[in-house]
Amino acid sequence: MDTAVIVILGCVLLLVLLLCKVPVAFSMGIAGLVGIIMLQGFSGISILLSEPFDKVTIFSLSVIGMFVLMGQLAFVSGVSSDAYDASRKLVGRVPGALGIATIVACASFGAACGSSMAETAAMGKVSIPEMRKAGYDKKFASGIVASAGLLAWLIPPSVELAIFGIITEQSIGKLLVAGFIPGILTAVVLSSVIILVTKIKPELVGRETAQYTLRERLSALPKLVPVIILFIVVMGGIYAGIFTPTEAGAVGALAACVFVVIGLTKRQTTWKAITGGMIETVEMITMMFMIFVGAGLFSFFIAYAGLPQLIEGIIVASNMSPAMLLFFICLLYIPLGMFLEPMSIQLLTLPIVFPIIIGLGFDGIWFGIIICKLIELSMLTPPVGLHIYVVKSIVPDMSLEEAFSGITPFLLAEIGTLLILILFPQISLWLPGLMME
Amino acid sequence: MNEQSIWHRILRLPLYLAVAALIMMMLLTCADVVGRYLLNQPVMGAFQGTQYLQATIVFLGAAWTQVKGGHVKVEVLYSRLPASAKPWIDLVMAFLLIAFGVVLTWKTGQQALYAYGIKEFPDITTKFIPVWLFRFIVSFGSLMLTIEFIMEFVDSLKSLILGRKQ
Repeated sequence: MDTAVIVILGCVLLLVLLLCKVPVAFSMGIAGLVGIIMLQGFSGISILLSEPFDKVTIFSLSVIGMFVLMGQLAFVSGVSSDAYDASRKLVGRVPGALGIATIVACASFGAACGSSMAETAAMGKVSIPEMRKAGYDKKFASGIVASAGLLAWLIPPSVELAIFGIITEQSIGKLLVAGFIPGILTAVVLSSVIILVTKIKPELVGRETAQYTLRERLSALPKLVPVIILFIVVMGGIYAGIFTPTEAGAVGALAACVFVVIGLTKRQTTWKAITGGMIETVEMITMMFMIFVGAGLFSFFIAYAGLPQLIEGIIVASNMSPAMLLFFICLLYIPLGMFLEPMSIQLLTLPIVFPIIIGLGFDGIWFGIIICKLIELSMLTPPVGLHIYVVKSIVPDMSLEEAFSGITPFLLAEIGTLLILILFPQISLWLPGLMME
Repeated sequence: MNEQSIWHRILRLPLYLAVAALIMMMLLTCADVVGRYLLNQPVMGAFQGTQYLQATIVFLGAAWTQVKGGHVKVEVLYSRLPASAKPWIDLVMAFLLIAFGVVLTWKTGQQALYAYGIKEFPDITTKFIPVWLFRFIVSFGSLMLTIEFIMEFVDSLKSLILGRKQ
């Protein structure tokens, strides 16, 4: 059979498996394995002798586990609810205060939590009931949380940027540092959207009556201390070259253990919650690594069939300008985001796309931020939109269609921020440029 | 207690071992940092230990994650399918997953046996780390995952038969 036909069959099989609700990791594994057998014969299954083991023992991937663990421990210790409470008091009485407090809390908790899904779930559970109590429209409230949860993607430490670094062999430390200013920029843009929407449609935020005295506001500040400590330990350590990202994650997780112990003594957490948090960490790590195994098999099949070289050849022959090519590459991620989850997109596309981008003279670290931002959009758009599913699970009386409609103003804001980051690379590159080599 | 809940109870053992491996991984990395900066003596084998503990977490947690529906899936088209079609699709997909699981268990097990035969270790300085043991863990985790796929196949078959009876 012709190689091109085999590649098409493999991709069709992958799509069918995905649409039949087979987990993404196993869909890619099965489609990849079938493709390899079609190309190499039945002896092709010998790839399973070492590929799964080799994939799950890649040292640089250990940063993912440590960041996820740190985030979960920070969550069970009550750091996320403390961050929300403090943000709420600090934001005061600006229009859409509770919504902005959610953005601020997500930005600050993002500095302790590496996973956007964990952050959305954690913050959603705390903030959505509060916003609804204050009379917020459920669609608007869920839109705020779904978009704010994405701040964990950029504000370091970020699991997604670490994954980009691992796949493209770029400095994970530099990538994490590069995400800081774009993360803050996104938080500012999202907050501005809340103020703007509140001005145009005040009925969306009901009547916010809470008022806090200066004393109350100042007394809320210590609640942000754990988040600040975790941020300094992890990012300070990486920035100063004291820790590797994995070490920073492990030390951060150990520091989060201290907050868990404090939470236990203050009765803010329970042993049951801690055990649950640890089990959830194992589930998240397993889910991510199994995708690595599956994507490894599928990528091997694609590479063996010679698809990357074919695409490269087409691009070279097209004679397109670098800017135009970048535009088309960005465009490619939108439909992909509709069917695949973020890590699989990175694993499947970056080995092909990244060398082209570098060949065109673009900066690898900057491209990491752009890719993160692009894939962020897929977390908010139908049909996959994982963040929408997370907030939907917190607001059971809201339909999926309502959840997607609530995200529209924030989606537009995300697109605007992406354009700013594309046009002004220095926003992403200034901070890592100051780092020690 | 039915066979499924017994199976889920059994799966808790590898899950707790995975949690223990996670804690060990964190402590090992921290000990390495402390050793390097305070004692000028990094922990021997910390790098390799982290790698193999990672494999332990993933494969001992794989079946449990499948039970809990933790492996990400796309539900958009599936949720719109007629109820009568779903058990058939589930049955076919579970069969494919079993086939994948069997091949995965077989091949990883074969490599584990080979590693045991040659007493594989990471390198000359870390001879005390038995790589074969972790290869067996990967194969064992694959086996647990395959059994879970078989359970799901039986479930789909049951709902298909019961659906027809109704």
